[in-house]
Amino acid sequence: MDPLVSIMLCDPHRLYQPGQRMRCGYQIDAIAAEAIQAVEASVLWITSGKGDEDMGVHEFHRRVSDDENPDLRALHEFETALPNSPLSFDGTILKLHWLVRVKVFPEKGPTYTQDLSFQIGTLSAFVEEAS
Amino acid sequence: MARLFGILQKKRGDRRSGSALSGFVGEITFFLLVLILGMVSLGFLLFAPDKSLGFWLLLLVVVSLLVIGGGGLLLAYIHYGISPERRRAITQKRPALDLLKENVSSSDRFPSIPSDAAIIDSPGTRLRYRLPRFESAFWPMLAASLFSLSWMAVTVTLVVTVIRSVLNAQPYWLFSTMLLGSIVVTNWATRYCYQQLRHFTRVGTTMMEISHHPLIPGSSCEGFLLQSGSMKLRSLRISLVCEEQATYRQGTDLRIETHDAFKQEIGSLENHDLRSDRVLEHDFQFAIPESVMHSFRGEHNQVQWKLVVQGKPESHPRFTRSFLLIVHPRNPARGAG
Repeated sequence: MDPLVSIMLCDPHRLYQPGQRMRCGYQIDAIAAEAIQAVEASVLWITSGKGDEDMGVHEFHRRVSDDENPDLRALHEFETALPNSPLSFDGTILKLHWLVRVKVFPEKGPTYTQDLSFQIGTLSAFVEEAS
Repeated sequence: MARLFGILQKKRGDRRSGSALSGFVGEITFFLLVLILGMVSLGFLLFAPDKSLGFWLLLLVVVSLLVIGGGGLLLAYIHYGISPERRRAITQKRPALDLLKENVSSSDRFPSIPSDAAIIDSPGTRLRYRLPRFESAFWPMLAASLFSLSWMAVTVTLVVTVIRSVLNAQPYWLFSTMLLGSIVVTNWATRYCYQQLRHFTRVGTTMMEISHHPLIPGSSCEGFLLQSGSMKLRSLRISLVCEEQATYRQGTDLRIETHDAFKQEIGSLENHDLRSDRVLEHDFQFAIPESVMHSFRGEHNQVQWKLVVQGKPESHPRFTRSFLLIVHPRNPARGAG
């Protein structure tokens, strides 16, 4: 059974402006504490659409199970100042999504990934005047 | 696992059709085999009794196998052991957010936006900034010249060979047929090269200047166009274009697809006679619309803002010249620019 990962953002609408501070928390469940080797949390953007995928990591945290952090399942929070760019974008052949991604690395078995998308900026769709 | 693979279409859905583990095992196996082959070959080579001139050549091949095998194994291990996010966080250039740093470049303050160094470093004659051109006319000209000269050399060689064979009363029919094909290609390449050269010399330079940089959505800007050359210009249009560009691999090919997300004609001129002492100068104004995407540059994807000049001379092929604009996002928190 896959572990359960809950990701929470301070803004329930998940809508942020460039430069704004974002507080984020995550919690892991349905897996034994000793079965987790490491947990990675990142704030990143990825592209989708026609082209190959691009990725940019804005914030990255890695926590390893050791004497200081024996239980990685507990609620963990972090805060980051969002960058000025790139903004979320929904184009025709290119889309840009911002995500909080949490990766759980179990002692045995495949890595489990959970994403929570959010938006930076409020870009509306383009209006084609002539093409 | 995908059931059927489309040969002539872009793969859709999940970009990976198998598990990461099977890919890792396949990569490790391949590079391990190359490494073992290199080690076995090295053993044979070192204990070979005859170390002649070929020894060093074989040693080079064996060392290449060892480097490819060993390096590939190491890279495969690193790729599998470290998550893409962690790799990216390690390798990615961190934005310089240090407030004590004096010269923080705009690409540091605005990540993933192309550098504006080419615009800032180039002052205009009438307005503040001269815009850099996207494409240079020199490289197509050079490529056309090299192609034409190469085919000319092939044709001359074939002509000499065929004439010799005819004089010796032993005509090479294969070479004669190849000569005909070569003449056709040379004729086309020479004409194309001549057209490029004529175009290069007749159309002249196009200069574009703007009053503000960087531009932000909702802002307006003055522009200045200078077109030199020696031709009768039927029409010249200036457009503001925002283009989405996506690069992707299709098999072994690298393909680029573009889409004009926004296009607006901001200037149109008709019937101008250009001479060496009479250049075309045109002032215009344009505005970046509200709520549009800023300039963006990723490894495979881009959003490009540009001013495009399309000219239609009376007796020459049309020409298009594009000039890069940098559009920053409107930043309500700190103020743009």
